Amino acid sequence: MFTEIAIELFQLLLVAFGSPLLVGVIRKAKARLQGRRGAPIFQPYADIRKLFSKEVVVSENSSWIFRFTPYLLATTMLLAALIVPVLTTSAPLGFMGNIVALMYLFLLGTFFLALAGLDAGSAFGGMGSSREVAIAALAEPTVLIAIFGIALRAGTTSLDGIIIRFAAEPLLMLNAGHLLAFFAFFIVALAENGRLPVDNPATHLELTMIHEAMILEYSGRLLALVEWAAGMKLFLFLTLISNLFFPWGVALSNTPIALMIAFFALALKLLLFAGAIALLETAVAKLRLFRVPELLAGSFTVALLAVVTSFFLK
Amino acid sequence: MFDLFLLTLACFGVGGLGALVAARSPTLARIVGHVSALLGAISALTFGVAGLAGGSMQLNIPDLLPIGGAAFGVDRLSAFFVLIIAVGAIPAALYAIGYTREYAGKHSLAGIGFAFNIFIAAMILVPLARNVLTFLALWELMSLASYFLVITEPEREDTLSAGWVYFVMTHAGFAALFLGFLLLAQTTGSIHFTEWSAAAAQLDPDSRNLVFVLLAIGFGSKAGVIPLHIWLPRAHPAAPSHISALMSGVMIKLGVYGLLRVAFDWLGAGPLWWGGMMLIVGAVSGVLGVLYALVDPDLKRLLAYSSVENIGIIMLGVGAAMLFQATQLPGLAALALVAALYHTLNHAAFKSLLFMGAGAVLHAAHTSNMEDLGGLIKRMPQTAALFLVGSLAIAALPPFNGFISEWLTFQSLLLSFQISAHTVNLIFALGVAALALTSGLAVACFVRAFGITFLALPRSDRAEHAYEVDWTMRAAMALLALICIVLGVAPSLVLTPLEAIVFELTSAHADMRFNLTAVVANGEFGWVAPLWIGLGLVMFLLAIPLALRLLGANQRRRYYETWGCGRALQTARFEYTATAFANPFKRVFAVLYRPIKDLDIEFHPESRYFVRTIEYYNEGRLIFEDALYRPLLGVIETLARRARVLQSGNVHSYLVYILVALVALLIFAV
Amino acid sequence: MSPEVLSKLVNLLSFAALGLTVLLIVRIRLEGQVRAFGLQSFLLALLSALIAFYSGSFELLGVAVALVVVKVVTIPRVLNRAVANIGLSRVAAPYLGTAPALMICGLLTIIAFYVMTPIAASNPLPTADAMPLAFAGVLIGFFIMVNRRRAVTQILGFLMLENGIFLLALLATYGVPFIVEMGVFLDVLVAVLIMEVFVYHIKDNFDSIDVGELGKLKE
Repeated sequence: MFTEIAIELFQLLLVAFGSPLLVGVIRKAKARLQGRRGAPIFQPYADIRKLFSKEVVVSENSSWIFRFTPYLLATTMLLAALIVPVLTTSAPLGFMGNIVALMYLFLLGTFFLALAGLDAGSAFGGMGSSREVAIAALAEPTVLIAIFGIALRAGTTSLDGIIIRFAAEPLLMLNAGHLLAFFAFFIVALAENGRLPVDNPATHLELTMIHEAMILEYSGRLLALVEWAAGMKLFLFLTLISNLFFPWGVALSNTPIALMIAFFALALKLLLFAGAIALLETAVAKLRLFRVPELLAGSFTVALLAVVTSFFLK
Repeated sequence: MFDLFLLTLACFGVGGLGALVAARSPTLARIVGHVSALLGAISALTFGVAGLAGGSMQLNIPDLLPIGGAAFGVDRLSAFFVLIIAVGAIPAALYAIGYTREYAGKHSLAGIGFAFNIFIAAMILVPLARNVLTFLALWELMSLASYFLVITEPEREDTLSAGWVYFVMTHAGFAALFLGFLLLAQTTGSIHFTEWSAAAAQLDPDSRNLVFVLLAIGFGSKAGVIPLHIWLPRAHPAAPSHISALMSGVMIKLGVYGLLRVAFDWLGAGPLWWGGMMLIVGAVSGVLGVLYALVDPDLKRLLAYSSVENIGIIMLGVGAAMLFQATQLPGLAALALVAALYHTLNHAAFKSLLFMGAGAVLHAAHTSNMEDLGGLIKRMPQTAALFLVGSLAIAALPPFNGFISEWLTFQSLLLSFQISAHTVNLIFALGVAALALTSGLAVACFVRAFGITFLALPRSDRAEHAYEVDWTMRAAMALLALICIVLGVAPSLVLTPLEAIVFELTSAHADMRFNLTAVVANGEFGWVAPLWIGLGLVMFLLAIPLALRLLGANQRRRYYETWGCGRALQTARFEYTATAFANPFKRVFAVLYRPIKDLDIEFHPESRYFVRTIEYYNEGRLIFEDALYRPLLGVIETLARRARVLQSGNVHSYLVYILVALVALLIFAV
Repeated sequence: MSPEVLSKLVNLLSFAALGLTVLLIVRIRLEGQVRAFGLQSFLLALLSALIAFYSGSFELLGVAVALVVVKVVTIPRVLNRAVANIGLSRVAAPYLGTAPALMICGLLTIIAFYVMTPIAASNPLPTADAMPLAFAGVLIGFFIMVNRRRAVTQILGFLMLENGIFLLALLATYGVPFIVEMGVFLDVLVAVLIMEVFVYHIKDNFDSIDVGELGKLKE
């Protein structure tokens, strides 16, 4: 009982404090691929700490929703960190929700962030909100069909159950439906977290922004919370993908050795994904906004194929 | 039970007649009419709860109606729908007390009070009807009363035509119902509902299918499924807001009631295509409903289209239940039914809340066009907060009630993999995709609805001078918001009676377990613990600012202008508009909207480098009206013109008609 | 190698080949399209080699080699020459945009599954499970020929359709006799050479390779 609470707490702290490191690693890898030296990988921690020490400037046109949203974003991410099986499949609070509930929890954050974008009354914020909810709405069918494909083969939608079931399947990597679902889910992860080719997280041109445009008005500790929450969302999505689709290393029991293996396995998987994202961001250009629905339609077709193959090629 | 029944009817009787009697004094008519309705609704609520606890009642009045008299009875499903009606009617009556004050002198408050009481009373009696004529008479009474309420404000622009479309559509549906009921009564030999379930099993498949289609059309048009929905976006915005709340939140649910009776009680388990058709209709209604809502600049019409969307979600659950029943998976059928019924109750709660909020906005700012609103959160803070609760609930976000019912619907759709027929599996997969798309688009829709209406700066003088509405309206909305929250964090309150209802209807236990905090579907297939999610959210929301304060984060806050890229001033003209917000969707789904765009630029007479005004017009076209109804009306008109030949105006030809008809009747009947 | 592992590998490679067919819809530049075709042919050669290794058939190995020579090396070179001849040209958009075309591809794949699964079920070979995918490739190749207006893309659609048929034969019966395969390859090579000449003349006469323009010949 006590060990399980300790493990849950450790998972929470890992997500909370590990996400800026993940962001730092991605930025460093991108810089190296672009021929620059890049900022040190611990830079995001320094950025967040600096932001916490600055005063908050709030628009006169905005309301309590603007000030409330960063706290809500951080809250939903921390709550999600309790549900996602980061290290182990027997997290005691994992019963709070299955994968469907997790997706809706993320959607709660998106709802309030979009409202906050509209709240300051600037055209950029409204534009960012409009684009963000459009992309989130078009990504939903892909996510849920991919979940359908997973649930078909695993026989359950509970995150723990899926990992246990997949870890026991020997030829998992050769299963076409599995890889298709992974591909679709990866594209959705890029869309939801505002990475290229959907959205450029490093752009300074307001007309090309989606996520950045919504948070343009934030400063001080509010901005720190928003950036932290965005990092946690990326961390959680990548953890979800690596543990669901490549379940080796996840601790199936709570022994110290299993947990240590899980920690290193997770670190390795996240490192590989960080490298992959950096490579992808360097190699592709941002899509025009009205080509993004085509990308999402493509990933939807892929996910649907994953489901169809699981039906027919059982 | 019986005394509660009489008490309810008595309250509404007093309310209706009292309003008429007090015609001289508008205030008295208003108070008497609506307070009695409120008391009647509370009494109906108690009746519903007693019915769900297992109470029963039977009432036969032999000579009140021809062919069998009036027959009433109650079972768990009827009691549940009475409960839903009461949940909608209590806040509506409370709201109406304040809202109708502005009608004094302009419209007859006696008539309004009378129609209001008749409307609610008829709605409560419909699920209790137990034979054909009782049902049809009460259905018609409900439609008529609501028609008069819809056209309460005939001086407004489109009210009369909206009322007319509503009138025609509801009677078209009535005709289908009439035919279906008569056919069923004739083939089974009885007009009593209770005798149908046994008799219908022996019917030949052709008549069963025909009856199903007729009754589905009749009940579907009342529920507002696509393509029978065209009256909804006209009638709901035209009616006063509490009437819209009642119609959208409660009346269209009676269409769902009828469909449930048809599929699970009267006709028994049917072939696969019944359920498949329901599921596809639900999927299409869900997606198209929310797509139309997304691009509409009128707040009330947006909410009406959103009702079409939610009926679509309910139909997804019903269709899934019918498919599971047809493939011998009764536990899953029961689970899908629980999801559909839960969503029915939830929708009644949050849609009423949203319509009342829209009504408050209309009352305070005298417009419901979102392009003229904005900044209302500072002028009507409590209404804004309550509207936000409604928006979060309808977008199915945790920890509110919409999330639980949509979660349950998803689980039942995902569990379809247990069926092993490929076509059915594919239909379910498309249902999952449709539900997901609907859900995502609903989030976008209500970000737009709440954000443009309430946030940032007011876009017109009317919005600038808005004020908070009076306490009865706010109390009604607060009551509904409380229901949304409670049903979201403590679903077991509803799930226990729902399980009993579903068991009574299908003789199967729903494939789920639940306790005070958690719900688990189908063994270990999926679980959610809404109370824990709610508590977790609250806990972190309190802990984070506290932690920041303890860790010494800078607590200062300064107010300043919005970032304007170096622009000199900020006015409401720089904000994003409702039309602009919907633009990405208009482009992605252009094949559906087929928008008409117009750009009109007026230049300064002296030089083309200075622009005076720019007018941008972007509107979608209503494809169902153009593609389906207009040709149909054209055909009817042509036929009517041809038939006019018979009306020659000559008395002798009319006499010949009578003679021919008489002779033909005698030959065929004798 | 066990039949199960072979089956899964074959499924994966067939999916990749199908994905490359779909890529033809997504990519706009002709060089990219030709490269996709080359890659797909290479995958098919790999698949033939794999099955040759499993079933111990030298014929199939020869087919794989011939495939590489003809479709991975020669035909793309010919097509690249045609593309270079055309240079830059303005083309009309395809009849259907990318997103609806992708949806139709999904639909065609589902139809292929419906049609082929009963046939595949009665086939005892371990590679038979991927037959629906090959058939889907055929259907999608056909769709590309209908949807696109550029002559070179239509040729590529035809070539991919041919690849799909080859794959279908490979999966269903471990390939047709060597002589037949060689004959088909020769036919395809000649057809492409002829089409290259035609494309050059079309471009010369109409200053565009929009096949819709050929309708002007009627007058």
